[in-house]
Amino acid sequence: MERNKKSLVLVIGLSVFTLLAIISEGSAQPTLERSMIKMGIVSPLKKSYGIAILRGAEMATKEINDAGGVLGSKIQLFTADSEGTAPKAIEVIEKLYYADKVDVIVGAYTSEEATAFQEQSAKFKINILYHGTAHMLDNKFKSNPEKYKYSWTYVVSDLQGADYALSHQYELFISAIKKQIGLEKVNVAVISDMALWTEGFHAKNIDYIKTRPDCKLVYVGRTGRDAVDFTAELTELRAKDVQLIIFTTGFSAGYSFVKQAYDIKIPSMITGTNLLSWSIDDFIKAVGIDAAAYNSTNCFMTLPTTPHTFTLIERYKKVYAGHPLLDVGLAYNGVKAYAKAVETARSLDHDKVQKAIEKLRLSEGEAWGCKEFWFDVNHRVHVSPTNGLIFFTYQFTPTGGVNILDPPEYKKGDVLIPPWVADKWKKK
Amino acid sequence: MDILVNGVLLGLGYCLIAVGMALILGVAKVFDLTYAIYYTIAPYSALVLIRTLGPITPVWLIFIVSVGASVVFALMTHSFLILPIQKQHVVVLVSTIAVCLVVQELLVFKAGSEPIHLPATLRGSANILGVWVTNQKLLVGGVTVCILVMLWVFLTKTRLGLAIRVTAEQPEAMKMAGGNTRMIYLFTAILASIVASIGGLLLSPIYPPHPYEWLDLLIIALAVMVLGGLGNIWGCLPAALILGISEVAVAIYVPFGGIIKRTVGLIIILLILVLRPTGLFGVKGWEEES
Amino acid sequence: MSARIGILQAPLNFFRKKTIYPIVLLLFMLELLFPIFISNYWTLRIIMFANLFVIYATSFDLLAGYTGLISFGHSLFFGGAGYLAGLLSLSFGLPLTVCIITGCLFALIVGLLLGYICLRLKGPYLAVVTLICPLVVITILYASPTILGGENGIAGFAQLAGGSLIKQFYIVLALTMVSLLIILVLARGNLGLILKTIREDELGAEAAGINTTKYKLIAFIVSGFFSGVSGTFYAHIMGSIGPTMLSLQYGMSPIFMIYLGGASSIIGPAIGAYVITFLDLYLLAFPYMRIIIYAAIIIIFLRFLPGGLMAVPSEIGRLKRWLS
Repeated sequence: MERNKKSLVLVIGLSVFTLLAIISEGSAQPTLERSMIKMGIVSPLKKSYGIAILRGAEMATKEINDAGGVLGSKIQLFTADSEGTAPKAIEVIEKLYYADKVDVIVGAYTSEEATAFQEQSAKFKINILYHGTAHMLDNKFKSNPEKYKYSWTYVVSDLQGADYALSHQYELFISAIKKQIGLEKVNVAVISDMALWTEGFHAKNIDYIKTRPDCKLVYVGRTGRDAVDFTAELTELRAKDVQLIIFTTGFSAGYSFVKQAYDIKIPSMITGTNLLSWSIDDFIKAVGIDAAAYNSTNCFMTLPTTPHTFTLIERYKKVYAGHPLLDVGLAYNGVKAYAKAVETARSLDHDKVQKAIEKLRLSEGEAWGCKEFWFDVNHRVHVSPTNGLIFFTYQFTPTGGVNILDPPEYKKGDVLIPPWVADKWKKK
Repeated sequence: MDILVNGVLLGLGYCLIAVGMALILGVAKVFDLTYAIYYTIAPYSALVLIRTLGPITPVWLIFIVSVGASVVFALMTHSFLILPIQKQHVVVLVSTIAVCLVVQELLVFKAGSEPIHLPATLRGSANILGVWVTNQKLLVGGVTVCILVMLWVFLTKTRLGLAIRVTAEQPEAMKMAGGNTRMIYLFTAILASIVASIGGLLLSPIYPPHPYEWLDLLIIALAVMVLGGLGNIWGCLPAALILGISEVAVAIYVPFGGIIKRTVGLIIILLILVLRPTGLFGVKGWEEES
Repeated sequence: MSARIGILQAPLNFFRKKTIYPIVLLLFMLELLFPIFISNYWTLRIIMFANLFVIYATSFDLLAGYTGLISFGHSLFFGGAGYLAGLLSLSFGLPLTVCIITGCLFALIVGLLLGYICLRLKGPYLAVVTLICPLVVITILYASPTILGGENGIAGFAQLAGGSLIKQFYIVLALTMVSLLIILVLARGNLGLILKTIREDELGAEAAGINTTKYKLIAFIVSGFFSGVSGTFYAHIMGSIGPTMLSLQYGMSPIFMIYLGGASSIIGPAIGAYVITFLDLYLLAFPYMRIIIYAAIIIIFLRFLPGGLMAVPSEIGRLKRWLS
């Protein structure tokens, strides 16, 4: 009986001990240093794309918090308006850092503020994930990777966009013009605005046209970012018998150009990259369907590229009215990437998180618009045809629809050349 | 030839912008910088109207209401802000810029900072002397000429026009003769805002209005007025034509011309004010200042 | 209306006495202790920027308040000098002190040129010309993206004192003390008197034998120089600048500051600089209301309180007398 009692005590003791261990593990201290993760969202909040960035971040934050947060800690957003300028961006970032003591900053839009974002990440040694298309940011990073290791860009660079445009979009139009009109040589004009991100496009466009034997570069022009009057440029283009205009600009300059070109029935095809036209409804409403139908733009990731993206877009539409701009998805990915990195690092310490971001991968069910999301050696989001990041080339139809021209598996119809262009150049 | 046609049409548009401000300057002797707002309010009111009443609202209704909105705004600004401090030029300048900034921010807040797009009154284009121009621009040119003619008739042939001219040249004499100068000034403000808002509505399809455009407008108006002679309404037309033609010429012939052409106006203001402050055709009513 | 204080004559009798100097010194001695008591870096940063704008506003007061030459384009000095300093630092890698000194000299020379151009201009004419000068520079900047950074500005040049906030705070504090004292001495002394005379009656001054040209130029040069000083330091603290530094925003802010605080008194604009910088901080949360509030304040002040904050005690006295 003595021995049995001892074993009983032992068993009970062990069970109680195990039970206690299990209970204490479950109600342990939160794994992260704080129960609230402070995230700063900085973007030009007075502009539509700035608001889009905020919404993308809000959407991602809500999803993460509703699912229990990151290892139990919820994300708290601190928003600030950068007005798209460097001094203001620096001011609000410093306020977020000193006064609000944020753990991370997500945002930016214009190249001016992106450069400031990159610098601030180095100054405060805090992770900053931002929208910076200009490839100059990559150059800065390569010049001192250790200094800028806390900066991450979650959008493709202008050079990557340009490469795609060259090989797919322009090729399509040049061939269409040659085939449908019957020309052997196409007169091409290259016009870009003066933003930082168009520098890469502009140089590459010029080189590409120059090296093509079936093209002749007859006009090169730069316009102001907010230019509205293209009378002079259009007059010259007409005088130089231009058949294809490659127009690279963001903001409203693109709208004005298309409208004015259509109004004076310029006998040229217009293609290029016009950021604002990613919001298709807005573009058609502003420019008029007639003008829109005979202009084509290349877009980056606007149309859904993965089944999961469709779901996210529907979810967005339920909360906010209208179709999401591209920037919603970018900011969404930024927030999700940070959250996952913190989860992996099990800490909010900037260096630990930084290392985790380097190794981070978001899968198709987690990211917006791509099959796999990760940062390459230059701390820029990796882009490849295989990860689902597809660039669409499309044209509008006279009835207000969208005619996808490329990639081939989504192709709906052929390039539509306006009658006045065809008539002018067709050899009788 | 392209330069000529395009430049003339551009210049006519500029004249439309400037002539209202020249009116206020010549009569009330104030640099009313909120003039740019009279121009901007009209297209934004039109936008609000179209949004609330739907796309089938008749054009004439839109015009009348938008012009009316601008007139109301001008009357309020002049009565409460400008006329009480009419003599203190610098205070007027600072206050009117402040008003511009307030309206700018309100517009950004309510309508966003991107340019708004209004449907054109006339679509399509025509071929003038071998140059393709949009019909809207031709409309603007025609309207400008009409307005100038009407102004001329009004100012020279009517009693009220006479009263305005007298007040412009000799306000003291007008007061002594029992005339109500305050009413005259307010009436001038109404005239100016009507011209400005018509300009705003007609030019909005060509130059999409945005909340920050007041500075550009002021520069254009100032360049025209300075060149033509401050306060000299009739000097506006030739000055505006010169400005329009030189801007188009710069845009075509100068590298980066598309961006530099904005500076043409600025440089004109600088050169004229420094070298020949009376402008090309002499100032009217500003003799005691210069 | 006849008994109202003219907008350019603000100072109270109290501040006219020489006691102002020790008070100013005392205030700045107090600020020396701030970093010890205030551990919130953000507050320190705000005070540091307020000090910089004190230099900007008070130098502007010398030209606008004392001489009556109200320039709407003082951002030309502030932003121009800052831009030059940043460019030299980034493109040529010149040491920080060289950049700052060059920037200030540039502001000085521009002051001379601008002053010369504007000699015969007054009131609205002067306002218009000065308004558009920085705009011309902005257009030039926009048109040269590769050399001058274009619309996006330049970033990544040397930071003052290697980026240490405490060191920056003390450097700026010392700078502000020295500049403010110099400007005060100039303004309270003969120069200020002459400038005020020119403002009130230029022809009379000429008749009395004052070389108005020389003194107007001096006003431009001194004002431009100190504005350039504040601009270069501002640029080097920020580390990134853009064409916005030359924009109307920085051109209107000294005007707001002097009319808020009380023009033509040096101390008034200094107070105005502090008030507006702190107001900026609180209004960061309301991006749309910020400019509306500034503009509304200015309109109200110009209309009802032309003497600025400095005139408040005397206005209260007037109100009391009017009530009794």
